Amino acid sequence: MSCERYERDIALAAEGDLPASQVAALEQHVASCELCHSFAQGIAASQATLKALADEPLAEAAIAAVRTRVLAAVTERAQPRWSGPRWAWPALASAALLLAVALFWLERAITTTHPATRAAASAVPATTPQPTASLTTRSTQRAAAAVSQSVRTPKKAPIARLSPEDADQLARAVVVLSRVKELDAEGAAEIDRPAVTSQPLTRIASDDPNVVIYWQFDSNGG
Amino acid sequence: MGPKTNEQALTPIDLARDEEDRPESATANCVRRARAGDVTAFAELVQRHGRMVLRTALRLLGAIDRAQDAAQETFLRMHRYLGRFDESRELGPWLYRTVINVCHDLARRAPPSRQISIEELPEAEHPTTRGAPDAIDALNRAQQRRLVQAALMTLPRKERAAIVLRDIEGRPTSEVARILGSSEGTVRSQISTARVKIKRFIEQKQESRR
Repeated sequence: MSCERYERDIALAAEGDLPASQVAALEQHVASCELCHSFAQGIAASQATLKALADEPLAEAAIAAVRTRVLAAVTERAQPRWSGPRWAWPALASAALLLAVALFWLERAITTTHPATRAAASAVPATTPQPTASLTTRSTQRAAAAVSQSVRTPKKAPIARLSPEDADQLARAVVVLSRVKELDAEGAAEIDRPAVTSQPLTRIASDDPNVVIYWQFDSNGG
Repeated sequence: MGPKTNEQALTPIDLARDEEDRPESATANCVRRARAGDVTAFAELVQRHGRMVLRTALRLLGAIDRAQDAAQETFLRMHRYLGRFDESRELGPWLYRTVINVCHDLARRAPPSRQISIEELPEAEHPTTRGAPDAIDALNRAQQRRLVQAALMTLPRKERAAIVLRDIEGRPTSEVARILGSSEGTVRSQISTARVKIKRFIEQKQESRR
């Protein structure tokens, strides 16, 4: 009979970890085997020493030092902290990004299709000598589309390459769009204010064909 | 030879020697308050469990300065993750698991630069035995403890964690298995192997000294 397999059982039995069903057979073997009996005594001695480590006093200063260091670190980071799930921050960031994109597109949609745009467009008279056509909803949309196109692809369609007609329409569109925003802020009832209809737009040409100055007069002539 | 039962095996370890063995309900109350941001309650948790955490880290790492670093990191993790802690569970096993993980991380990041000899192993203060008539016995006991600590340091990581929790901390095998995330059978195998290795290490060293 090999005693090697009993060593494991003896080591377990020394601290009561051997299943009760195996204890009797082990005791019987140890009682009759001198080697295993000696091994069991050796295990008992080493276990007693091992467990004495538990009673070894720890220096109180060592424990106090840990406590001090921990509390100092915790106090330092005592700001209110998020204790929610780890995925919350990325989710919040994504939601904020989606919201920003949605607001951006919503604003664009309103400024190009809102009924106020059309109303305001018809309310602005064209007083510049060339071209003199009134600003229509279609032309406003065309100009707005030009703005949009120039913003999206500035290298392919720079504003400087617009025809004079488109440049005029563009300037009027900018005026109309800014007015629509004002109206949105002031309320829809303000859309028929006479002051809007009396605002003239003057085009001032410069020597540089790429530079055109537009001047809008307010109701006081300023 | 008289094999012991599990319950008997726990009695030699004086589980009531530390602050952490106060009623669990008091600890749960502290946990609740600490989760709500009460720094005083957190300090009380550190006070209750500091000795246990430092002692475990010391047995796993073998050096008091590294054990202090591990204990500090353990409590900082506790502070960081207390919000996720399930209040219906006991804090003790959770702390044991954390300190074992921290010690593992520390050992992996900064392993001891060389094998420490038994003579170099740190020795704790023994105020009760210093200057006593049985000073020789005390010295022998201290040497024995250093010998066992050296034996512990020769064990593989998992065996060392299992034997520290079972034989030094006196936790039941089932709890050790839960802490280590292993089966009870695996833990029994680890502790039996570790006990045999420790016995042989001690005998070998004692033989070489004669």
